Amino acid sequence: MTEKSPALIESNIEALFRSEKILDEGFSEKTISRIRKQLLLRRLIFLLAFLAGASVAVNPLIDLINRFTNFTLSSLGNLDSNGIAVLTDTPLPPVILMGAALLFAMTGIVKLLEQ
Amino acid sequence: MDDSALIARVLAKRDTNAYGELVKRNQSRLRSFLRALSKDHELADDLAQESFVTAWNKLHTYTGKGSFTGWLSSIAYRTFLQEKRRSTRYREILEEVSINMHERGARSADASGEQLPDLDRFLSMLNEEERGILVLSYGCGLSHREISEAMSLPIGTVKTIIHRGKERIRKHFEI
Repeated sequence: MTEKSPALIESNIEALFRSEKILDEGFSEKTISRIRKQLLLRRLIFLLAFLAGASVAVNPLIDLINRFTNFTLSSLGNLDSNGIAVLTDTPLPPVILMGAALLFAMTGIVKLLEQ
Repeated sequence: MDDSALIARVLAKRDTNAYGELVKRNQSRLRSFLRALSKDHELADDLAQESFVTAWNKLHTYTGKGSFTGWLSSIAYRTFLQEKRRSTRYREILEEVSINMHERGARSADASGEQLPDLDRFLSMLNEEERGILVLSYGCGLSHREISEAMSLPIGTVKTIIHRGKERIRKHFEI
């Protein structure tokens, strides 16, 4: 038996493995539609999470805005002899803390949803 | 448009059409690889679809160092291993394949040379690792380095398995 060259052996093995291309036959379409469904579901979950977060946050937020408005208006009404606003009222610390906690939680949730 | 341009487009705009083009270009190779590993066309196609979805979710981790096909193959191989660990169906398929092999082996011994050399039959005699490496090398045209990355194996091991596999193929098919 004659010795074959390594290149010939290599190309013979490659030819052995060379099979016919598998036809797509809707495979990529199915895959992409699955990805699109996944994207839609994520957006829906994001929207629901946003709505749930907003419904929880709406009252403290309105309260915070009211207090901030009151504080601004009242401080504008109390000026010292030099015309500088004097602090007569401050928003309640629990309200500020709640607002900050909500903001922190919301950014965390958004990051988690993105992942 | 080449693969890297399509990938950039997917990353920038989350363009599903561009990704669809990538799927079309790579589906045949990935499905062949998974068919060789799992020996079940239906299961292989499910795993291929799963792999493409995982690749979509992890595309931002593709650094562009190796080929996209190599990166996809590594995802497909991991998907296959995960499926194998959890699926009882896979065990059933393996049992079925081994029963068929024995039957076919007995028949071909009786016919003595009447049956043509069959690559699938040869591959089913190898273990998954060897089968995967040989298919990625000769069937998908991946380099040794790409295979080592795809299958998380040292490059030396990949070279040894390919060398050993080549010798076995030569003897088996009289190449």
